Amino acid sequence: MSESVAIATEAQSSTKAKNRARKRVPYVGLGFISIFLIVVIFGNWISPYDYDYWDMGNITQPPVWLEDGSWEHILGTDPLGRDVLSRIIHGARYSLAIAVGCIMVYGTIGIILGLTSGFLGGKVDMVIMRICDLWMGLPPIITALMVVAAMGPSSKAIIIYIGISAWPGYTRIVRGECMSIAQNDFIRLAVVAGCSKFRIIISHIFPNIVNTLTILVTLDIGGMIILTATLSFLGLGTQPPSPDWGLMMNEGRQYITYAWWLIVFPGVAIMFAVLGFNLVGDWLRDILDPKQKLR
Amino acid sequence: MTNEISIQVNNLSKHFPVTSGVVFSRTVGAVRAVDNISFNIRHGETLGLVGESGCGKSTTANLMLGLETPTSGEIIIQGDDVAKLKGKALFNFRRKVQAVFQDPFRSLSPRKKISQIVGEPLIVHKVGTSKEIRKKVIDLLELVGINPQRADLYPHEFSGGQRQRIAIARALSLNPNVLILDEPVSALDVSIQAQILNLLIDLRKKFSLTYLIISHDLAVVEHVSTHIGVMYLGRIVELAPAAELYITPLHPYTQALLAASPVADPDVKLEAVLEGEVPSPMNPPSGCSFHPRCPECKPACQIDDKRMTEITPGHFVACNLYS
Amino acid sequence: MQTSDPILELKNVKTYFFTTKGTVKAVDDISFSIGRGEIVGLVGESGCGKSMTSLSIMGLVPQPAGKTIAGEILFHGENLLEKSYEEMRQIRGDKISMILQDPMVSLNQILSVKYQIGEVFRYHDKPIVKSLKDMCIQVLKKVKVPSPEVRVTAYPFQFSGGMCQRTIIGMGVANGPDLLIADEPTTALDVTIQAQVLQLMKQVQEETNAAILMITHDLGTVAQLCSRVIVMYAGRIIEQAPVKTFYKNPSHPYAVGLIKSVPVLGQKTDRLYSIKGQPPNLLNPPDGCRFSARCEKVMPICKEKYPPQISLESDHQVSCWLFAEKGDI
Repeated sequence: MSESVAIATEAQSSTKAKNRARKRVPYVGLGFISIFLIVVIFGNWISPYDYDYWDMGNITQPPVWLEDGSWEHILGTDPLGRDVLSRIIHGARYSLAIAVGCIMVYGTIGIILGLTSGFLGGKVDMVIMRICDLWMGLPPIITALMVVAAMGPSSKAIIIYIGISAWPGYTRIVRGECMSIAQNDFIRLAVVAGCSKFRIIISHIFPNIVNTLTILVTLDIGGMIILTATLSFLGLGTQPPSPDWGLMMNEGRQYITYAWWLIVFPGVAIMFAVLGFNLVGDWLRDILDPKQKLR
Repeated sequence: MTNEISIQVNNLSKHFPVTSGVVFSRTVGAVRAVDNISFNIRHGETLGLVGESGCGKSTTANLMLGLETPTSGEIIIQGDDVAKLKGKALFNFRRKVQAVFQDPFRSLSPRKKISQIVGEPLIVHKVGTSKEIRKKVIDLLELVGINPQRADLYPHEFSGGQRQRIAIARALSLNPNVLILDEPVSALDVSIQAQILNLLIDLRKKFSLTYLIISHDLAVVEHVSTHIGVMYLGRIVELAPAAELYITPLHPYTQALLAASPVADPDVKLEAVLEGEVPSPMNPPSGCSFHPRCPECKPACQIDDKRMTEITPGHFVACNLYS
Repeated sequence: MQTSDPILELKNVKTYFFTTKGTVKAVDDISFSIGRGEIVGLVGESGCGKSMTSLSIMGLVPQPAGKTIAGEILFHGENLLEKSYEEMRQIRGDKISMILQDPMVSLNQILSVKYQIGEVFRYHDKPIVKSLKDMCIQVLKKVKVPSPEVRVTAYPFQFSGGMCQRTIIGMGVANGPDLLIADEPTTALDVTIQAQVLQLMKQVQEETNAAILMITHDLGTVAQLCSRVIVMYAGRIIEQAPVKTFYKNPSHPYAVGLIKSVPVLGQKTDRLYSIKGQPPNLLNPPDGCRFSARCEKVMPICKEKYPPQISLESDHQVSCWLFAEKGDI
């Protein structure tokens, strides 16, 4: 169809999506993320207790709305007398820090390798892609165990483990975006102007993939929070007495029949945090619609 | 500068190997995108390359810009053998030869302001301070008819014709001697095409530029060029001064092209002289590659591939009809 | 303009797009008619509304943003705008067909040619003569695709651009439509292939006596194929005339400028005539004549009121104040 129809159709369909997107700003998601970030930043001040303060007079106390509960420990305490609410607040920092740490590690590796592979092509591309293929075939549990065996279980170990296993996915995506952008004439013209490959990658290609990366990262934070919680739950990550949410769930497992709050509240915290990031990530995907990138 | 030869292309060929097999690929053939072409362009002249899809004109442009390396032959632009340039020499060569491409919507980086786009070559080649570069950018925008007050806007705020002007401004920023124009007006509306063609003609005069213009539109090429080369399946089949090509086209393919071009005059009826499709460049016909479709095909044409011969001064044709 | 025996009549049709940035008046009050067997050229540049006109006729205006909000589109006397989706579906491909610009994306690459040609028959419950495959081969034969018996089972990616476009033309006329709408059918083709396809269209038209609405920006194609020309600018029709009259004696300044700015083979000039400026933004078209900002012959009234349609002759209309008499103002 001729240009006018194409433009009208695109404008109209992206207008549709943008209209919807503008109308449904994910206030709920943004609300969850805001709470999450406030908790992370001001945790020290809003938390009623330290995360490892043992209130021996009030062990395994139920939440305030149940019999035996009190306002001193709104969400109850665990068998060591530690306040659940405080541990969840402090735990938020662990979750975010680890999630961000992971994304930074594999994101950086993924972006660098993806841009190199996508732009340089040829043998470099082939080698990197084959390494990706091999890497994606590594069984995750075994790799996790290997890292833990080498470093001992800790938050750092999770970051390292996830960082070195998750990069192939990013590399692939970044490579694809890079290759499709490199088709454009402005890249050819940059070469004709004498730009070095490095300059082209940094100055021309990277700014055009920032949108995609923003969406990916936002959606990934949720996934990372769950993944780190899982690994800590399995005992491979953060170690006691750190208040990691997954670890809290693991510790609470044995008491589930009579002290259910020990496992439920950390789980709810994970759910809301992840939901918040997912809702905002979806919305960003509509706003930063890739179809509109080159128009 | 006098009428010396600015661009010299000798026996230029570019073959793209075709591989088969997934794990251990081997070369089973080659696409002869450009097959042994030669031409000269003198300073201040414009050579127009015309032809249909697959004839190799865009590959020729890429070769001239050093974006591809030839399989054989040489391209000498103002003394530099393009294929042999590396590193610093290639970098300096960039100041002599610039390009304008077809699609105005993809020629400008969407996330840069147009002042950055036009000034980038100057920054890369470190020509002047940032103030001087800014002044030069403003001058260039005025030169091509873009309001300099819009210099800090992004490409999506400009129309197709305006974007092409910006691309031209960028191409001129390094004061090149040669411009390679690959279908510069094909993606533009008719009334805008005329504006851009006039601009190109004015700039050529003002800066004594040498153009290589590629197009499928014969009328556009005739308007801008001093000489025209007709390409078919990677070869140049006819090369002549522009006016002469239209008055006395010699090669049957050129004649067919002219006959098939629709004319905006209801009294002139076009004739579809040529039957059939363009053959695949992977499997070109034997002898003269045009012979299966040629209305004047002789038995000799299936075997003998005629080289370019000069029929009248400056008018070359590769055809068995003329020997 | 009254054509004898019109099969299609558009009366004051308006198709608008309602976007967050405002209303785009893509087609703003146009009227014309097409007679039986006529080839009419609808000419204009990008954004003038010619493609949207064709979509309005077919009932395919992209929704929900776009809508034909006013006017009548009478096909054999019946208003297409009042028809239901199912009624329009039966008309499309049977009574009114359409062919589009890019042949490579007009056919589904993963379905065989036979399947796709067969759709044209299947969806309109046409009686099978011999076999569906045979009917498909006949379609290919009609449009001179070589070796149709072999090609019919092939896939579109095995066809060249020209062959694809021929196949699509064949599908378009297979059911003997009264009207074929061709939206830039040869723009994406090489010159020599374009000539073949145009010749084919002429031939097909002579055989089937279908009317053709040829939408294009290429004045050369129009001169070759069409008997009448309609010129659109910024959503409105500014001139309608028989082809010979139009090219010898264009009236509207835009039409004059357009013809003058096309480079003509064999007539090299020092400078091409060019119309200054840009087409207007359809979000906020100016009051008065939409060409006034670019017109060399602009008068004060041009910027205030939109000119009425003035008949220079019984078959030549133009919307321009230059031709208005005292009584029209």
